[in-house]
Amino acid sequence: MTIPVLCILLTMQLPQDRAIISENPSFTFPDEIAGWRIDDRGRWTPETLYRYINGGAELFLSHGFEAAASRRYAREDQPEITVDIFRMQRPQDAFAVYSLSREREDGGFGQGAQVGAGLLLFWKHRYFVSILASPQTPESREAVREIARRIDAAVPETGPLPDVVSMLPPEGRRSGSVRFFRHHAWQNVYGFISTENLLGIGDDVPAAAARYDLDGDAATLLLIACPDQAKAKAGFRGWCAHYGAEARGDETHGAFASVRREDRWYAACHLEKFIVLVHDAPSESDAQALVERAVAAIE
Amino acid sequence: MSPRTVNRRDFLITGGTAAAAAALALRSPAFARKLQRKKSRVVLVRHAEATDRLNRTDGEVLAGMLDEAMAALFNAQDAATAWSGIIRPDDAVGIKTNVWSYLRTPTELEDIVRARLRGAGVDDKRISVDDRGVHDNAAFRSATALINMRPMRTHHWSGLGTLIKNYIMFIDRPSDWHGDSCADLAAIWKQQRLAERTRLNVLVMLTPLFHGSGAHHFNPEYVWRYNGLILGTDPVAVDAVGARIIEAKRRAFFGEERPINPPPKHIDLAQTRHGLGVADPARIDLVTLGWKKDMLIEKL
Repeated sequence: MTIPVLCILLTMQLPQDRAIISENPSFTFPDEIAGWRIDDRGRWTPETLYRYINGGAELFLSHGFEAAASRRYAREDQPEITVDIFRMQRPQDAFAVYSLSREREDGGFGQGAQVGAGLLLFWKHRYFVSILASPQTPESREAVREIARRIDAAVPETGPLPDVVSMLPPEGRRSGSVRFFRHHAWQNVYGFISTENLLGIGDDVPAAAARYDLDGDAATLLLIACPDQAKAKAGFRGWCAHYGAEARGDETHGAFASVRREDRWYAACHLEKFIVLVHDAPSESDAQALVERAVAAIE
Repeated sequence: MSPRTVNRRDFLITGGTAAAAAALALRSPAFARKLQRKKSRVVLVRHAEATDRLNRTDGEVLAGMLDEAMAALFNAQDAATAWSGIIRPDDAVGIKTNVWSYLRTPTELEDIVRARLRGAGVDDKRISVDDRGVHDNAAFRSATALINMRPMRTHHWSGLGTLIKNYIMFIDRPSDWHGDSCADLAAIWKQQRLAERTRLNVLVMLTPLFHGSGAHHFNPEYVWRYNGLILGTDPVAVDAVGARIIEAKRRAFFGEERPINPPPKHIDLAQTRHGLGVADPARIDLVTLGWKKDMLIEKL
């Protein structure tokens, strides 16, 4: 392990977890904070996570989940506070689960944070942190922030954003709308596409999605980075078949397709190893213009 | 169809006599559904003080809501008559609850229903409450009557956690039903005679979750004190009403159309593919009782 890790207290109490939890003692969960005391402890592996996150473990398991530690704090006449620290294989994995868990970007903690009424989320390096107190009270609000500050300070490193995220054009992009994923289940994050993996998204085919403002309207941009041109072509063809769109242009050097559905426009382009999709645009020209911006950002 | 706003007094005047005549027959859910040949009756009851600022349930208020809704649902003179209409003293009753830690069926509701069942003459030893253990619970396998109750929330795989979905724990491998956004959940109800044994469905809308986010798919920002219960004998109709309220809340909160994702198609398919009940708004007779502020469902 090269990374300071947050779960040492758990490690000390549960030595069988030493293989998956770093021994760097940079963070210990406090026994007591602002009147809240530890009420329950947990540690989770890829084999046990589904018991803890009912129905939602797949998000973590499909994005390089390694281990997690949790604490539940209790205080009389106050909501419980649940603290979860998830350690992922790579920073891009931590960003993936963060991006698919938050709705906006508030900042203030780690490399990105959502600080809501009762839920604080942030990511930093290989870690995704969730602190939940429901419903929020003035006292719990301060306690949650204090815990977040301590965890944030315990992780000195930062990690890079995934390459495909960095390729999303910044102009018009809604703050906090960027999603990154390596499992096709999340291709539907901004509107249902399919339950099938028609774009070939997977471990070696990461995807990013974001919402873009378009003169009082909005559209979704999806960018899929394939390992080779053949996979990009296959994904593009899968999209065309699914939407009943006819490809135009040169499949070797790049092809474009668009289709109208219920007064909204959907467009796709494949360019070398990339698939660019614009969904739910108000007009064909808007869809095409956003595709062109994405292509320019790639090039 | 416009919603009818009916108060308790209206029901006492118009429904009491019919209820008395039908009470014994109503013990058969199949007969109850025949009575609703064209429309499934669904009762939405709300009370402003059903929960407090910490989202804790007021058991006394909740009991009053449930009683009022039961009388309205079954056109009964009072709640006791309604319960006696659907439960026999010799019934063995399984209460299928939901214990998801962030939004569980209130224990107060479990206690109230248990008390009402005792009031209908059922020995407490013949009443079981369970969620994740029902598959292996002998009391549920041999139960002659089931009461299905859970909170509504958005859900990773099915779009919405519904009454229809609440029976997935009767299955050996629930994950087998996750495909295609849990499209065929209603088929579960045909197993183990679940549909015909279910006498009442209660969708808890006290603090529903209208949007999922965060590590646990739970964010307190997306919970609100709606303070409602939705009751019916038809789980599909009850879920359809609940889904409308969730959709309306999302529209109001986000200021734009934000369809539930994945789409909770299992509700419509429960009608069109599996014939479990009715999701078609034109075939739902919605009765609303109690608190009207921000009801979010003016018509079906």
